Amino acid sequence: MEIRPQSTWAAAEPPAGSLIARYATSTRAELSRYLSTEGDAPFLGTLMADYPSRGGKMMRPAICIANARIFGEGLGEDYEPAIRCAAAIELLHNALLIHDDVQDGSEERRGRPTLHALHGIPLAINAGDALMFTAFQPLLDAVRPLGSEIARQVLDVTMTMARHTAEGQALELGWRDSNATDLTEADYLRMALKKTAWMGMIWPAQLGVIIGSDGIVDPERVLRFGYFLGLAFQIEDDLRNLSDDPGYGKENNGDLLEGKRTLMLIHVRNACSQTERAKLDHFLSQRREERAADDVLWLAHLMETHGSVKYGRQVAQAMGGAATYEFERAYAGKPPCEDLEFLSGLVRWVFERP
Amino acid sequence: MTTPKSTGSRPKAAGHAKRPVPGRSDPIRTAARIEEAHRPPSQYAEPADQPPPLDEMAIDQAVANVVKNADDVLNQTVAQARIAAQQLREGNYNMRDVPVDVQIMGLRMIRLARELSETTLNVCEQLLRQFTKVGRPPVPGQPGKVPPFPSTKPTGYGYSPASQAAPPSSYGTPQTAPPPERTGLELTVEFDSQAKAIAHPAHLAKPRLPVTPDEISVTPLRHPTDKGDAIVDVAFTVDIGGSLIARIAIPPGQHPGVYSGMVVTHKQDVPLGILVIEVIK
Repeated sequence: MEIRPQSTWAAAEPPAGSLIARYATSTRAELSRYLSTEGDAPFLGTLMADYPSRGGKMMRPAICIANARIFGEGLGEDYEPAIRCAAAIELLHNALLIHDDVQDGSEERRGRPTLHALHGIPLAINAGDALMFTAFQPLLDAVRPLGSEIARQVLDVTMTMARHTAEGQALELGWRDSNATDLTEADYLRMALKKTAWMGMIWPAQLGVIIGSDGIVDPERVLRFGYFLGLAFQIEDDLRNLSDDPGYGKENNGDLLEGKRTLMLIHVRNACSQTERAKLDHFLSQRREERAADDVLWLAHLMETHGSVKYGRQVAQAMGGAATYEFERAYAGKPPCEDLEFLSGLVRWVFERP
Repeated sequence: MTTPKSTGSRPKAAGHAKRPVPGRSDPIRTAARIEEAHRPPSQYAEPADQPPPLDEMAIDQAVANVVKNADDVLNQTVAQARIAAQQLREGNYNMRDVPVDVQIMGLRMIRLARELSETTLNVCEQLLRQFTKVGRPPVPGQPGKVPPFPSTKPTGYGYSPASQAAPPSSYGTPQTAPPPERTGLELTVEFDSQAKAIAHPAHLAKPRLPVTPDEISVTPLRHPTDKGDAIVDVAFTVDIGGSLIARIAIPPGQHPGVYSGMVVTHKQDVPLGILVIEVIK
C-alpha cells in the first residue's frame, strides 16, 4: 500500500479546503445544532457551549469520519451517521476536558481560563455532566436508521471506552494522590492506553469502522493502530510540557509541578542516584502548592542530565513507528484515498503539530 | 532442496560452523533516530554520585523493550476487558449472544404474545359486558336473552360480509338473525327384537332439573285403538356423546300399528314429550 501521508495541515489551523478542515466544519455544524437547544438554560447553556466554541484540533471527529469512509466505500462526506458520531465524540471529549480541568486544578484551557475558574467548580462539573449526556443524543440519532445490530456494536465500544477512560483517569489521579513512586513503564503504558489512547484514537476509529461497514468489519481491526498512535501522542504531549514551548494554552513544566507520573519521571527515578532519588521522593510527597519553583527546575534538569527526555523522545518515536506498522496492517487492501492519507499522516502530525 | 555434494578435497572440519548469537530476536519498531533536544545550559552541577550514562545501544534496547512492553500491556488489557465483559454478561440475558435472525424471531413472538394477550383481554371484556346485559339468570330449559357474541371471523380480503354473525362492536346490533337454538333433547330409538319397527322423530324437552337416564321413563306404549298389547319394555340410556337413547324390546307377534307413550321423569309433572313408534307387519 502506497500512501502519501498528509503533512500540509500541521500548522496552527488546517488550510481551508483540506480534509481535516472540511470534517471539522461538518462536525461543528452538527455540534451547534445539538447545543443550540441548551442556549436558554440559565447557568448551563453558555457553559456547555464554552469549550466547544474555543476551537480545538478536531482530530478525533476526523478520525471517525475518515474511518467510516474508508470502510464504507462510496460514502459521501455528508454521510449523516458518521458526522453525528463525530459530534458525539467531540461533545464527550469536551465534557471530559471540563472534568479533567477540575480534577487537575488547571487554570487555562485553550488559551483562556478554565470553566471552573470562570464559573466555579459546581457549575463546571454540572456543565460537564450535561455535555456528557448530551453526547448520547447524536450517537443515538446516528445509529437509529442503521438497525439494532449496529446500535449494539456502537454501544458496546462506547461502554468499553468509557470504562477504560475512567480507569485510566483513576490510575493517574490515584498515583498522584497516594504518592505512588514504585511505578514501572508498563504501569505508565497501561495508564496511557486507558486514559488517552482509547478515548482519543481507538474509539473514534472503531465508531467509524462500525458505522462505515454497517457492522461487518470487526472494530478491533483498528485497535492496535489507535493504541500505538495514542501512546506516541501522550508521550510527546508529556515531553512538550517539559519544553520551553509546551503548546497552546499549557504552562511550562506544569506536569512537574503537579507531580504527574510520566514515562520520563519513572525513568529518571530509576536512573538517578540515591541522593537524588531521596530529594525527588520528597518533592513528590509535597502538595502542589508546597512545591518550589527551583525544585521544579531542578527536576527538569535532572531529567535532562539522566537522558530521560532523550529516552522519552526515542520511545515516542518508536511508538510512532509501531503505529505506522499497525496502520499498514489495519488498512491493508484499502484503495489509496484522501482519508487514508490523512490517517497515515497522523503519525507525523503527532510530532509536528503546533 | 538439494544437498551439495562433497568434493572431498577440503579437509573435514572439526565441528559445525556456528553463526554468532544475534543481539536480539524481536523486531525493533523504532521509527527514527532523533536529535537530542536542545536545552539551555544548566546552572546545576553534576551530582557526585552520578551513575554512568547509558550508551546508545543500551538506550536502543531499552526502547525496544518498552515497545515490547506496550504490546504486552495491550494484550493483557484486552484480555482482561474480555473476561470482565464475559463476567458481566453471565446470568443476564444478553442480546449479543443471540443471532440476529433469532432476535428478530423473538421480537415477533413477543409481538404475537402481546396481541394474544390483548385478544384474551378483549374476550374477558366482552364476557363482562355480556353478563351486565343479562338482568337475571335464564330459566332452565329456556334460552336466555343474552346478546349475541361478536364474530371473531376476519372481515378483510377473502371474507364475505354476509358471514358475519355480528358486528365487531359488542354494542352493535346483529345484522342477521342468529340460528334457531336447539333447546330439547335428541332422542334416539333402538329396537332389540327382530320385529320390524321404526321410530318417528321425537324431540323431548330438557328436564327442569338434572336427571339421570334411570330417572327417565315412558308410559306404556299403546295402540290408539288398543288392538295390540301395550309395549312396556323400554329402557333409557345415554351414549358416549350424551344423546338420550330409548331401547325398546318388542314382543314377538306384536300387532302392527302405531304405539305411543309419554316420556316422563318423577322430578317434574310436565312430561318431556311423546315417544311414537310403528310396528310393521
